[in-house]
Amino acid sequence: MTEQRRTHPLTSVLTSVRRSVDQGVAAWHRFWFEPLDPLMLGVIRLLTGWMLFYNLLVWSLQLEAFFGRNGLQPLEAVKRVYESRFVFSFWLWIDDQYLWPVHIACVIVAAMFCMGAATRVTSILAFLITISYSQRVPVANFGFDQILGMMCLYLALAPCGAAMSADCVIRRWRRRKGMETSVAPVRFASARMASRLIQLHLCAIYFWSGFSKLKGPTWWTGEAMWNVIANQEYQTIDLTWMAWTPWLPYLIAHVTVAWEAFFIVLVWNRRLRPFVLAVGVAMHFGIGAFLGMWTFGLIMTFAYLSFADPVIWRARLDTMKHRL
Amino acid sequence: MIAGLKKLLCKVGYAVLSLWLAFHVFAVFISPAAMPPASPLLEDGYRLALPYNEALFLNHGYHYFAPDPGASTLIGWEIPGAGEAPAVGRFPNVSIRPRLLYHRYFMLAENVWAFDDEIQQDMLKAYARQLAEQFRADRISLSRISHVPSSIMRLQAGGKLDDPETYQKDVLGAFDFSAELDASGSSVARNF
Repeated sequence: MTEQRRTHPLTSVLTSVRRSVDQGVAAWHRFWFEPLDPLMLGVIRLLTGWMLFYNLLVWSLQLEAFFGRNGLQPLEAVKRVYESRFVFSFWLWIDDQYLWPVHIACVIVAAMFCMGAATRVTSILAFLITISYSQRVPVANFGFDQILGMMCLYLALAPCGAAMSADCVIRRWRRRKGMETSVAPVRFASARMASRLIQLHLCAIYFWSGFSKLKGPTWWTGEAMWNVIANQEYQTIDLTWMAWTPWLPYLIAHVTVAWEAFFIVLVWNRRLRPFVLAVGVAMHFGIGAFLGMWTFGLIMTFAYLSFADPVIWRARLDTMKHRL
Repeated sequence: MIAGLKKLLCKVGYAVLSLWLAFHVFAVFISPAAMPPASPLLEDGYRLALPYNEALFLNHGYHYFAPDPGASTLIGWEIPGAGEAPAVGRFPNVSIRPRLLYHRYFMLAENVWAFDDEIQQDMLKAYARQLAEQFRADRISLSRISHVPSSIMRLQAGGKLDDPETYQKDVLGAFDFSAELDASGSSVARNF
């Protein structure tokens, strides 16, 4: 008869804790660092870069008025706003005589970033440019600037030039010519990390956007959406016909709050994700079409691409290439 | 020996990166959490992440159209004419194109009230100066105009969004630039 060895209860608890910790560490590693194809980040870079480029072109129309020392945002007043704060903007140190040369350099960098040229450098510069413009004109900022800054930050951390970029074209050309023999990796841990950061930041945005609405009585009564629709300064298309179908703005208000508040949970469910993101696209396109904030609406939907599976899209891209 | 050191450095690097990621996510979530009303705990967390959030331009509330979307704000201006009716206008002006630039002017009128009184006065003076340069005027007065959205019932009763009673005007004061403006009246802002 064999005597069964009994383990000490403490040992068994420790083993169980150890196993749980190991599983947690492995899950953490998979979540943040499992190598990922940078295809979607390349697409996000292309679209975000285009948006940054457009933003700078629009600033060109009123550069002196907004960025001049004595413009609509007087330099000394803005510096006082940032006193003893950790805020960076190279515009705080640039004289009026250099406004245009610096601005043109920024536009060129934005165009290079969009095309994916020298992306390792231009992605970091794009982020610094984005926050410099935004922080120089604090009163003229709105949601678009916040999201553009967020996207450029994460793209600066990502290998966003490893797909859909001029860098890739140059690398392929050099390889064909035998000037380069090394093969670039096809998947990156940093791509996963940047995608996760975009996804989690989106969750934070919607979570607080939804929960902050719960502080307001008009989001509960449904009048809030009507107040947005009836705001003539935002309105680009007249929706006042909804005054005769009031259930509709009330419904949109309730759906908006529910969708925003629960996005953080629902978007991680693979089955629900397409539906959750489709509602988001509809909402942001609505903001673009009816409130005239296309820049904000579009940049938010660009961030959704971080949820797309690059394996599926790579296969679709390859199929399209073969057909062509 | 070198391989061992490399492995150790990798482990330390991984741990530092993981800690940074955890702190970054905390910083992103805590920034909007501390918008009033907030507990002292949330405020302490916010202060902890503030330098980091400010440095990376992440110090945002994300309270879009919250807690309640209300009246929009416009800046009205009036330039007294010599013996004639004063020139009047307000911004943002819907004729400003492209729309992104319109929103920049909209934010000038909407956001300036979030700053302290001294900064507010400097900004309003800057608006007045730009208008004065544009219209080659040396005196200009500004007003804050609140445009209250009409209710559903009001519209059903025949009201319109731009009925005069939906605008509330507060005079902010007059600005005199006769000593500052040069004779050329160089114009820089044309979109008001």
